[in-house]
Amino acid sequence: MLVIILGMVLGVLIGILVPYQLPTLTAKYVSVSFLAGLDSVLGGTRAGLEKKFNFAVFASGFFSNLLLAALLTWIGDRLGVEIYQAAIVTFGMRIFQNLGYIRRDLLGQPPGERSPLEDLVSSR
Amino acid sequence: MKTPASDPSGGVPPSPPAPSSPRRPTRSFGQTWQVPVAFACVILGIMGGIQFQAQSARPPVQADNTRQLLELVRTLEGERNKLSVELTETRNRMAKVEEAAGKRESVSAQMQEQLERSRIEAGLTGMRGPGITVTLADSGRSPRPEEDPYFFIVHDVDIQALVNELWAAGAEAVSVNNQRVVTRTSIRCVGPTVLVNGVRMAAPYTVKAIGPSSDLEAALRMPGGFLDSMAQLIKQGGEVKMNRSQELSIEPFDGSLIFRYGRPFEGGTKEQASNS
Repeated sequence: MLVIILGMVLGVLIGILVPYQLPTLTAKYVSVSFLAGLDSVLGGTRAGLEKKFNFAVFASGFFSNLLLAALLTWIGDRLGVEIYQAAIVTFGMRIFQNLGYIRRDLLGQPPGERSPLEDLVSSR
Repeated sequence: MKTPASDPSGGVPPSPPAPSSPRRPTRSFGQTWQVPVAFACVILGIMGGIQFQAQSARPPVQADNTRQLLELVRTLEGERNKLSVELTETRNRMAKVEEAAGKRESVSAQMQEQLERSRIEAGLTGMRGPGITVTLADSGRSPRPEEDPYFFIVHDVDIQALVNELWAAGAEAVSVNNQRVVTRTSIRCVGPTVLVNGVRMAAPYTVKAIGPSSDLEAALRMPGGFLDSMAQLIKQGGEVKMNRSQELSIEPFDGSLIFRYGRPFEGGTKEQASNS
């Protein structure tokens, strides 16, 4: 767990200290992609904790989510429809969902057991 | 992205068996799964960091910027005014020097005359004579939602058309709000104001022209001409007034006429038939 947190801290430091300035146009893409990537990382952590981690699934999911989120944003920009909001809602929901699983994995609750709240979220 | 629970990104295999099943399609990594996740975290962190940097570098409020620009415009205008006062003084000094030179007769009378004519032609002297005064005013009322606000105000193109028409009808000197129209005059809109010779002015615009006053007025009133083109403005409450007068005076050009790039070439001057 410590490795993951250290990795995140390291990345943020690199990102802040790097002298490269992001152009305004791509800022939206990066933020949507960031959300997608965060979802993948949390999903991977959860899978790891549940001993179901598969590297190929994780890697492909991470990168395809990043690209898909950026692509959706781009298409939305072209069409004048803010499709990236769909990505934000979906990934945001899943981030909290995964976080809930991770929390309960760490606390030692059996993952098979679902709270009524969880059912409510995933059934929509 | 079929159902949120079975997304490949989560690292959960498409058909997850029970965690305790002995035949799993996935390899068990022990703690090694943390390495790729940490690596992904580094990538993610870089993205987040760069994004954070970009967001904090951007000026938060746009209005701030506008105020700065306005301030800049005001400062530059003040500077410009100071310089134009300086220019006028220099011109006056130059005129005195020329006069003195003329008195000493080191400059021949003919040259002096030629110089004076050039100054008149360049619009550097005030002019008096018969002519016409045209006043263009914006509409006094504000447009209703269904009306096009374009037709409620006088635009640079209107003034351009008017000046153009006056030249074509034989005007010899034209000024807009006391800014003499010379060879290098520009007339353009900047926001709600109009710049003539780089000087900001607002409606109403008074255009004076020296020339055959009745011809000038007739040219403007020509069917399909300038006055007709202003019909929309007049309908919405704008004003176009024309006054012929026997005697009106037009200020000299007081801007800069410095040539930084162009220079005359040999044989490029056409001798004008002197007609004074």
